[in-house]
Amino acid sequence: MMKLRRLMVVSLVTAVGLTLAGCVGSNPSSSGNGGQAAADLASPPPPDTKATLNVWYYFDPTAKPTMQKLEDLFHAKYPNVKVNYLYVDFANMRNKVLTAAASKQGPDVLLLDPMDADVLVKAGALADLTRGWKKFDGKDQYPDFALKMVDEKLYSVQAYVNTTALWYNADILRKIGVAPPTTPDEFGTALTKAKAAGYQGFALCGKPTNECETQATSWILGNGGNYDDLGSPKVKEVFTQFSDWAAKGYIPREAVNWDHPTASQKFASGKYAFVQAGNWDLGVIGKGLDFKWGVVPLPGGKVAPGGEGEAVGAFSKNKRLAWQYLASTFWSKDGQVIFANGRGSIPVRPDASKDPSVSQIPHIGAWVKEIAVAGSRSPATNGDLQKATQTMGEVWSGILSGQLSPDQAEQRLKSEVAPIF
Amino acid sequence: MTANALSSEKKPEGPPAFGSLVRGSGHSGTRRARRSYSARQARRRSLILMAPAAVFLAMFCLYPLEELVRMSVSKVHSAELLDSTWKSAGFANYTETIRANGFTTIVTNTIVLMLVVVLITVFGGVASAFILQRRTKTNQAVQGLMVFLWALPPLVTASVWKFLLSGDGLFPALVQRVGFTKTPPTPLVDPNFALLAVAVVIAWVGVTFASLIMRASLLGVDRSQLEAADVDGVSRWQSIRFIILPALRPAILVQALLAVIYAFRVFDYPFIMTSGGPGTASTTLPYLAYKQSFGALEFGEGAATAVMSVIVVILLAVVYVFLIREEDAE
Repeated sequence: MMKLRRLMVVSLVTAVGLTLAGCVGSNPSSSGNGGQAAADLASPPPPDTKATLNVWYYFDPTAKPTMQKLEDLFHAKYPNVKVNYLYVDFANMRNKVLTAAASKQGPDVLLLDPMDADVLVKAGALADLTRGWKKFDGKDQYPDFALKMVDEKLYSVQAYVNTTALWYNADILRKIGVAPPTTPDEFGTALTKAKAAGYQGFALCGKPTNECETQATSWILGNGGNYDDLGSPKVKEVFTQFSDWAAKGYIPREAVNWDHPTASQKFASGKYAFVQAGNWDLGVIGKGLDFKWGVVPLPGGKVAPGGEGEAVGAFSKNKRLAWQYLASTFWSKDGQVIFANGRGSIPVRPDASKDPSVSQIPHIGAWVKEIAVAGSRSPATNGDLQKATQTMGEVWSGILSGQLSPDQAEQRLKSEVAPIF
Repeated sequence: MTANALSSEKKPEGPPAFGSLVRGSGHSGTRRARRSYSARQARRRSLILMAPAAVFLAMFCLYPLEELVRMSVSKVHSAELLDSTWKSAGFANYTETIRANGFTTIVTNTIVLMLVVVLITVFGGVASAFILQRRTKTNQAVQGLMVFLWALPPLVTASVWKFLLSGDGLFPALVQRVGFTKTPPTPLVDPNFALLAVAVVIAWVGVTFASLIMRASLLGVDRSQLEAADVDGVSRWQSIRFIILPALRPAILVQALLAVIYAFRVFDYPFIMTSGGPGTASTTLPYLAYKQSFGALEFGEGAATAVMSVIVVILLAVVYVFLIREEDAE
């Protein structure tokens, strides 16, 4: 009996041991990035290659026609390659890529928030594009900010710039007798009048997440504050202003449960005088609004430009095809012109942004003006930027809901975020 | 063939027990050896039958738990996620988490959510079981609906309630129409009510299941006792208090404990309905673990928070097993 019991225990331990051995990950540098560094991704596979490419992105369904036009550019070279698109919610893209990388899986192509690139590179989820980029024909068209380098290696290339500006409902502004605001004071006056006339004021992203941190940051940067000086009155002034606007009902309390697309949809209902929305919304809500509207730079704001970086997955089995997909679509002049016209994004390539069809896109001038004087977040010197942006998102939500006073918000940022910078 | 005939004709196939050899031969010794052998065989069979479950548990429960604990005492950020050789951090993740601004509030949130869920689940379950105890077609239809609601994925339930409770949703409009408030109430975005709203929705789902359990227990109450009490002139309230509720006690205890455990591990409802907000107003321990891990990418701190939650759940699970055993013994 004892022998049998021992045998059972040994079998069990062996089974668990085997499981552990199978599940334990190896060093990412040996299987992830390191393995890609030597590969020449720019070397084109034969045109008759048959394969399937998996592309992960977070565009809403309205992007489908634009993506189809881009795909046509790729299919002109590789007609036998099927492209599968997987929509991943913006807020979950990074986590999905991280968890996939943990089991050595992932997409062939992914579109990512450049702010997440560092984290994904550290996790070994992105392929090294350095060698291939040196051979890329259009590389001279790309400014430095579009190239995401980590430890002197290139991991993603940004094809266009996205940022937010102030959309206004021109019908409401006309009825309350104000012009589109250009200064913080004018904006405050317009909100007061809109509220007094029975309209909703300012829709924005207020969820306690990293996603909505971008909105808080644009106002903080505009007021002269930044992450490396969170004790500055310039940061607290922004919190005081928005706390006051929320208390007066200029910003609806509901906003603390809105992500970016929800805020834009609320504006599209025609009840809101303003929304802080992006140039990409031109292709989402911009084409279907049944009222007169316009866009101006954020009055008193300063944006930290965003956009999507395009990258090749470290665990892709079709890296050369993935490269060809990106080179013929997002990174090409034609692709950027198509994307700008379809989605309102501002191309990174000068030859694309100077294309007459791009420069004539209605309303795009507001974003172009903003980007000309854009700012950036302080570099995180003692930890991950994500922890800082997550906390800022929570504080922003706390301010808009009244859960935190400006003093409490400042206190929390000083104790939890300041040490990271 | 009788059992005795069988035992006299068949010899045990295995070796005799050590004791029977020492004490010599004889019918009693042979019987003891046979009993001992069959007991061994039964044990062997049960071990073999248990083995797949044990391996499954080891793979999908013990191993992840071991990794979780290891992660909670290690420095794990995105860079170390794939690398299994995590550097030790001692208890720094625990102290960082506990010392962080707002941790006390989050623990309080968790306890408040637990209390609300337990109270509503148990009282709602008992009350609805009383209402639905008679076998009428209406009651059966309501029970069917309750099973349907209970079986709905939390994603669906939470999304529907988020819509119903939003500013332009049905409930705020109804409350305003009835005249309770001048403007539609928006509990999910009110720091004072967001947690309560989430807890009530979780409890609402829990009541459906509790009702089924309580009703089954209610139908098991000895009818003769109730009839005797009726004959003795006992009031309805006294019958409930002195006969029915004591009979329901085991089910109530188990249900309360399950509700406590559920409240300590629920993540989906706060995630969908409020994202833990406004600010951190509806953040509970499981949601904090998620935010630390996948929001701030502090996987070590997230694991520490998860371990603290797991310890509470394990302690409660032990109590649950103890209660079940006690009930079985009765």
